[in-house]
Amino acid sequence: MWMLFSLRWLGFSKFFLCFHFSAFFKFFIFQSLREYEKGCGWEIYTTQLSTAFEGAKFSELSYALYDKIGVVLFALQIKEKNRGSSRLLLNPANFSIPSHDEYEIDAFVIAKNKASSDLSFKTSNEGEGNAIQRNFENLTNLIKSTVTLEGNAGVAPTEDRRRISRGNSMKALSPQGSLETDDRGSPGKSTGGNSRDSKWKHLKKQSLIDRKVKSSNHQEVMHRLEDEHLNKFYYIRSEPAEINSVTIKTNVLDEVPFINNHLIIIGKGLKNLYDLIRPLRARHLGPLRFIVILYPYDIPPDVWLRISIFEGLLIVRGSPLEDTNLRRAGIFRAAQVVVLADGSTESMGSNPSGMDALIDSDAIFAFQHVKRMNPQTHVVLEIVNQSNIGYLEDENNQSLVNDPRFSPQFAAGSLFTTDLLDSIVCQAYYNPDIIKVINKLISGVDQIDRGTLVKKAAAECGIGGQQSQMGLGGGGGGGDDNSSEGSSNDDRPTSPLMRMSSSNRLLKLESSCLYQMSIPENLDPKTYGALYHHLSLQGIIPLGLLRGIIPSLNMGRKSNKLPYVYTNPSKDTELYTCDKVFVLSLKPEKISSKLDVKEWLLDLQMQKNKDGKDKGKEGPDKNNPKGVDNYEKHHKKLEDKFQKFQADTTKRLSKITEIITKISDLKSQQAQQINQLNSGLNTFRSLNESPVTTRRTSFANNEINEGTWSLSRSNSNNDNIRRSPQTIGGIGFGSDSPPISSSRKNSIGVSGVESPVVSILKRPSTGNGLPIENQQQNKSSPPENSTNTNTSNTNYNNNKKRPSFSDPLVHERIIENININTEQVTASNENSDNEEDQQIEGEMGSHKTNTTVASSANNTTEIDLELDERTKLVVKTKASPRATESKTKGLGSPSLSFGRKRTPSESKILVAGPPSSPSIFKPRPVSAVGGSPVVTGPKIDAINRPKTAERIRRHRAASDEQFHQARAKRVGSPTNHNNNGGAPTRLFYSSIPSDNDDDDNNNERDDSPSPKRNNLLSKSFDYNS
Amino acid sequence: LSFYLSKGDITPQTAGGRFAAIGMIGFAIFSVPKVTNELIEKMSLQSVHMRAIYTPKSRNAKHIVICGDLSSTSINDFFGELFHEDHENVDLNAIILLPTPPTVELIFLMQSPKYFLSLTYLEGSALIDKDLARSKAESAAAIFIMSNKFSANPDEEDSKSILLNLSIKRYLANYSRNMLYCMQLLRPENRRHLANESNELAENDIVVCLNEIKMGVMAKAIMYPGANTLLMNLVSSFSDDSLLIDEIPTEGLTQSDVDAIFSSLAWVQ
Repeated sequence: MWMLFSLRWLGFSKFFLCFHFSAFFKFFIFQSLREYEKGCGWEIYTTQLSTAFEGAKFSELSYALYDKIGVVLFALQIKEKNRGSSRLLLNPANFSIPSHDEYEIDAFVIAKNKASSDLSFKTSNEGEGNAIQRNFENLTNLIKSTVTLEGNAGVAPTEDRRRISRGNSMKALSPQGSLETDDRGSPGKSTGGNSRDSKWKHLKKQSLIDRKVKSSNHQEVMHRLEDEHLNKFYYIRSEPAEINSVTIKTNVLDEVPFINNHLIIIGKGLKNLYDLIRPLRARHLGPLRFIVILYPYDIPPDVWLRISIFEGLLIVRGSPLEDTNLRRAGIFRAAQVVVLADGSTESMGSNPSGMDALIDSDAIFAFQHVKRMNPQTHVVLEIVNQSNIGYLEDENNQSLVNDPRFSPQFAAGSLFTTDLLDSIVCQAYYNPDIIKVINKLISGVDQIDRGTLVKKAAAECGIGGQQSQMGLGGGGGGGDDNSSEGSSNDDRPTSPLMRMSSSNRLLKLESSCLYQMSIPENLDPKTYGALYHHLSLQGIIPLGLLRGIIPSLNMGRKSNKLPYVYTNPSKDTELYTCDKVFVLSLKPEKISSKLDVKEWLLDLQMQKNKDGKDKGKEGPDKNNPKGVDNYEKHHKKLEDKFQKFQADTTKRLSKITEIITKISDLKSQQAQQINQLNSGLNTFRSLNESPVTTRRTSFANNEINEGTWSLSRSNSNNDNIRRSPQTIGGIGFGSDSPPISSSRKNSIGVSGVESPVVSILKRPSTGNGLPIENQQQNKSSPPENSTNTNTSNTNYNNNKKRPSFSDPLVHERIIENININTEQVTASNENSDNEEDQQIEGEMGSHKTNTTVASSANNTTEIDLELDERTKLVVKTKASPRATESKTKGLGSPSLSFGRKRTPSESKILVAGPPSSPSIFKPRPVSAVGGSPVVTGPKIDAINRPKTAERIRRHRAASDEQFHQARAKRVGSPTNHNNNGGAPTRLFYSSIPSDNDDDDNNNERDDSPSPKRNNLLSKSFDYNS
Repeated sequence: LSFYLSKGDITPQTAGGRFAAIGMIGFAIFSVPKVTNELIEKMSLQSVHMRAIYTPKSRNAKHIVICGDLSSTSINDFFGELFHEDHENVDLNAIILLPTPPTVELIFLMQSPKYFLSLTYLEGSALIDKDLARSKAESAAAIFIMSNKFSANPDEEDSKSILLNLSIKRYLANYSRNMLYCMQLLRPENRRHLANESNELAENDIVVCLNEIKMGVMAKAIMYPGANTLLMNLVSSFSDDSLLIDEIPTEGLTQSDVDAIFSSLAWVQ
């Protein structure tokens, strides 16, 4: 059998591989289960830290411990001995372990059992104790050496330690002495402490006087700050949405045509939807993505009342067990689906026959239904009864183990069982602090802000911050610190101010959050130990691995068919590129600073949906002046950044980054055009143009699949990009949005390609009623067509399937869309005009790409300006908007296609090329980097469309001029450095041109750089070629 | 008629006496079983768990009291976790104090050899001092208050839990002994009902807000696939040898083969 297999394999047939792999899967499941099982043995324990660790930097200590003993030190609870206030910190990376004299320190470690978790090295058994003591001295030495070795770059940690010990001796002078973090501002600390002390004394006096008066005030302030906090860090609507306004009656794709990568919540147990949605609306997750709630009945008013404050919610009423309803919810474009259990007592009561399995039946059916319709989505299923997990397994996926916890689905993280909650209660008995740890782990950035919140409130009312706010919006861990602070019961006499001061100091320490990131590329030995070391230098602590799968093979390196979690792997565990690592990191992976614009865009979108499609002339800016303000604000910021970006790029952009920038730029342009198209439908009709039907067919999926290999490659490439500072700088606007890693794959955060551009364009265009909208409108109107595109089979692709309004996308997808569009032409022959349009659109899109490549980065602004210009031009001369546009831009735009509408149909064939070669990603001499826009573009064009190249050159000159004129006026586009998507690898595309010239039908666009249709059967635009 | 009482040295001598003895015998034959039967009947009304009293088996024995609602709890996993060897507790006893008779599942669990010695079921209410005394709540190491995670009315469920908490605290007020209260609450908002006037939770109240954690974990799972499994692994105990896959097939591909395949498919990566 093996021989047979290997023979076939030698034939390099991927399909054979897949086939046989699945046949062998039953065996392979063991391999992955082994690792998963190993990971299961780890637990969280609390221990005291030995005094020998004092002064060590946390992240280094953690690595040393992992290296030597294998346990992961990941959190500290610091309690001041005489004040009683305490704080739990997840991975305070730069924190130096303070002295035991003043602080009680509990460490949280991940260990196999209690004995191995002990870091205090206090043993009653003498002999054993000695041995351990010896061991531990070695360890300490080692730690010290690592500290010295690794700390050289920054603050010399040895000095640091000395400083800390000095701090201890001086603690009478400065109470903060031993609690300082590693920051460099140490010199001024003691005096600062003194002055603060006196200030506190002052405050204390004052507060004692005012206490009675203000104690009620305090609560008020707290609540107000809470609201502000919510507004600042979450996508919150200014006023609650009406339930009717967000209820989708027909199809999500109809009403929100660009919805993409949204989350669908299915289930009847909506009681606590607020707690689920809240963390998902956090701004640090990146651009807002829609959440579609599929619910068979009317949403209960009390539930809706709470969640209505959040942005981007859509409601579809219907049962998840029917295809149509799932389709209405946009299942084909959803990135994630959550199936909530319906374990309410009524349903249990209705099954007195003891059919416990029925509790989960709906959820399981929904789960399988969703998986069948869209296997790529990441489904999280809540299961009430663990024994029901067995029903989830398909026939070739049977687990041979009975324990439901070892089912592949559970290991993959798509199951949630409520038993977790009972386990937590048990653990809480043995380890009361574990609740806080869990709360910290599951809460987002909230915790960091809570500290400041308390401080602010205290400052505002002059009352002690020990009155921790209860129920901070139900936020994760809202109560955890409360209980710890409540531990100050025994020292009642201490004034609240004293406690505030101490907690203030504790609050200064930063705590980490749980994130997921991909494996860094430049690890030397690709082992987990090396990864740990690598990350610990950056102050990040890894907790475990998610063994991924390679999408096109449908299995991972460990022959796992589903991803699985490997908690705290051993040092020599090999890492693969498809893996992800769970980390505790101080910084979120990504903060997008242009979210306001995003928000505004979303508003626009919603507004438009509400107003219906015939509101072509009405400018959205009228409806939303606030958005404009936002825009203006960002405008300035963006411009500055743009300047910087420009300088950076010309200097040191690598070719790849550049391509990314440009492609994403293209992408946002596409999004703009889509918007414009939407807004100008009526006007367009008045022009007597026939509506265009855009078809999305699944034809391109082959190509997508083919491209998977290169995709995974490109992902890893991005990692590199992300990591190298120059590149980040070079990405320009990217510099203000820190690189994200994992978000592009499966998480919510989609990197922000910001689209101020879109907003710029959009405002004028809709205001003036551009005739551009129709295409897109039509595109979305035939839902039956638009739904079936998304069968690309990679997880990675989930975020990037197509350009969407709310989710500015990933570059490959642009191209894919283009392909799809061109492709559609082939598929739908019914309407020749439409086809024509599509084709042109596709062509122009690719053309655009080329041009962008050719142009240097500074074109981004230019483009915006041009777009503005175009809109103006369009306003003036409705007849020939696209000629101008294309001229100025050299970019293909949908509008361009109007000109060609009446030409006879052409057919295009999408040729799925061979998988791109790795060489694609090698940097090559960049003609475009230096800002020599003309060189590359024409070159590429020359290959494909000589005519166009010439035009582009002309246009570029024209656009430069316009650019200078308009620049003072308007700002630059956010070019997005979308880290997410890998650089587009290639565009394959062929056209079988029709013989007629497009010019003869349309005068308006005769000078437009409409792509010449060549007789090339296959044009392949390889950016690296 | 020879009727011997005890050694037969006392016998009814007179005819009247003999008849009386006969009557008494007859009466006893009929009535004693009847009364006994009644007694048994009455006793059976009151389950054995209603009368059971917990008595510590040794000086070192610790015990915890579990009350509230176990209906939605997977007791197997719960007790598996509670008594897991990783926690290194030797003499832990769990006393379940519930107002209802034990379910069949629970009875089987208590009879299993693993838990036979450590599980005690008391039927009673934690709201009643007498029942609390039976469970020796005053010397317990911790009080667990569980709730029904799928209650249709979470607020009601929470108020029950909070009431239990307050009742036990009141009962224990006489003993001035601090102990741990491990509570499950459904809605995080209800935590404030447990707080004192300055909005602080008492130190020994450990409140697990089920919905908050559940939804938080699910949100994490959405953002970062696998995060839920990671957390689950971290908070639950697995024996090191709980699962051994012995029957690894010796034929077919081995991991090294797979690696070889992957490495030759270099273009994959």
